[in-house]
Order: sequence, then structure tokens, then C-alpha cells
Amino acid sequence: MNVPSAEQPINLLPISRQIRNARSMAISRWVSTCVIFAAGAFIPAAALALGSEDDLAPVRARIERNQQGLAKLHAEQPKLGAELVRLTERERLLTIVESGIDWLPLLGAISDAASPARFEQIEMGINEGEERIDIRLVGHVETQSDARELVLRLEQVGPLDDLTLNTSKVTLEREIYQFTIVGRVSAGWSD
Amino acid sequence: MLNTSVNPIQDALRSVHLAGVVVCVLILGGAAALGVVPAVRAHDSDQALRSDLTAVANELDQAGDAHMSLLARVDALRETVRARDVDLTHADDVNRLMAVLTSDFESMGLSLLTLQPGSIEPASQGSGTDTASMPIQFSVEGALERVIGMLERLRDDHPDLHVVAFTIEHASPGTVRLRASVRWLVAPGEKDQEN
Repeated sequence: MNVPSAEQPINLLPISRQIRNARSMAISRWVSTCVIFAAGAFIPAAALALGSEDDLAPVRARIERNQQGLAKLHAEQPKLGAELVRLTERERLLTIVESGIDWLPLLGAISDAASPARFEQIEMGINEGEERIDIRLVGHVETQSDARELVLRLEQVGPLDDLTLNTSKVTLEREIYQFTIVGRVSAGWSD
Repeated sequence: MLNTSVNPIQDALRSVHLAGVVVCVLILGGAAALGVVPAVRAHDSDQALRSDLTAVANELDQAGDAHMSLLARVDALRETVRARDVDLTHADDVNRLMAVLTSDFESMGLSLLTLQPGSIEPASQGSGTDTASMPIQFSVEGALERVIGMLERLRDDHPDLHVVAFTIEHASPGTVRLRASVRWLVAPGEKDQEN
């Protein structure tokens, strides 16, 4: 048994009562401590939890906006693709339309080279199988050398190629030479 | 003198202190469960969402670029087609074309000898083109200058009529005869598809 010293107050309460009082006081202190501790722990924790949830909302909204944009683009693709196909087909058709041969420069060049020969027939046509233009010129000249010179002049006309000359003497009011010149123009000359 | 005896009050309070410490630990654990664990999860979700956002944004950028490129291509093509566009008529309108050609020949002072449309040729079957066409044969007579003028007019006013072959020959003094084979490019339509 403890013997109280001279400095210690003398507690005359029975020991059981002293224990009860001390327990009550300790419990009371611990409850206060726990309440303060709980407040100090839960309030920041709740703020952390709620705050982190709030941060995700703008990201989700941006994802949704992007997905909507993507869906809109995807929805427009078929229409745009169909328009592209239609325009491509139209352009292809226009290219075909524009691919027609302009015969006049060739006619003009042959006409310029003709004198003094006189043409009776000028025949031109596309040879699709050979991808070229076949030309046949029939006419008459005064002399054989006129016919030869005509061929030489025609050969100077750029696109004309492979020219062959046939002449025959014809006597009408006077002697003349009828000629037939056959040749070809390579494809692409008018490009 | 050393006091080795146990203080009964301290002894009685030990369980209270122990319970207090346990409750504090539980509070700490609860706070961690309420705040830290959701925060960590939210961080993970945030990372995943941001990754998703980056992926979707990249996809959107690529799709946007592709869309803009396609749009630019369509616009350029539309402009090209608008600038070069030619009205192709349907093969059903052959009689109207015959009337126009007859009128053109007459207005040029040429005598029309023959004007004969053929049968429509579907695309890529003997026509030599990738579109349907109709062969037309005609022959006219007149002065050489007028015949040349007629060829010019065909070239300028009828781009859908391609002269594929022709013969210019002496007919009579001051007069030549033009015999021409023309390919009339017709608009794609039902007749083309039927063929």
C-alpha cells in the first residue's frame, strides 16, 4: 500500500471510487481527442475525395465533345465520298470530251506545203488499233520532181511520218502526174 | 525506496488508453479509406481518361485532316469540272442533234447530202472511249472555205462531237465534198446501262 508523502494531497476517497473517476476522465479525454482527430482526418480526406472526382468532369466532357466531333466527321464521309466519285467520273468524262482531235492545224500545215501541187482528195482518219492517224493525199503535179519536192516539204511538217509516194502519168489536155501520198501521224501529236 | 507495486489506477486506465489508441487508428484507417483510396483511384481514372482523351483527340485530328483534305480535293475537282463542264445530251435526243446539225450546215451555206446516225455503242466496246457514243456519218458540199469553217464550228460549238475520219475531195469547180465520220459522246444514262 502506498504511503502518501508529505507533499501529496491526501485522497480519502476509496480506491474503487478513485479508479472510476480516473476512467471517466480518461474516457472523456479520449472521446475529445478522437473527435478532434476524426475532424482533422476526415475533413481533408473528404475534400481530397470530392476534389479528385470534380477534376475528371472536364476531361470526360472533352472526350464526349471529341467523340461527337468524330461521329459528325464519320457521318459526313459517305456523302463526301459519293460526291468525290461523282466529280471524278465527271472529270474523266470531260477529259474524254476534250480529247477530240483538232484537225485544222494539220490541214493547214498540209495546205501550206502543197503549192504548186493541187489536191483532189485529202483523207484522214484515226486508226484506233494502231493509235495513229492515217493520211492519204491524192492530187496532181506538173512534174515528177514536183511530187518528190512535195513529199520532202510534207516531211518537214512535224507530225507526218512514213510518207510513201506513188505517181502515175496521166494525159488529159496535157501531161500531168497524179500522185498518191500515204502516211501517218503518230498519236499524241496534238497534245 | 523503489516502488515496485502496481498503481491500481494506472492499471485500470491502460484498457481505456488502449481503446483510445485503437479508435484513433480506426479513424486514421477510415480517413485513408474515404480520402486517399478514392483519390488514388481517381488519379488512375484520371490517367486513363487523359489517355483516352489523347487517343480520341489524335483520332479527331487525323480524321479532321483527312476530312479537310477530302473536302479540298472535292472543292478543287468541283471547280475544275465547273470550269470545263460540257452539257452532254442523252442518246434519246439524237433527232434534236440531227436538226441542229442540219441547221448549222445550212447556215454555213453547205449542201447536206447525207446525215446518218448509227447505233449507240456502249462504253469501251468498239467506241474507243470509256463512255457511250453514237457514230454519225454525214457528207456536205460547198466551197472549201465553208467546209473548213464547218470543221471549225464542229470543234468550237460541239465539243461532244469528235471527228474520227474525214475525206475532202474535189466535187466540181469551186466545190468540195466533205464526208465525215463523227463520234457523238452521249451522256451516261439508262440506255448506256441497259447496254
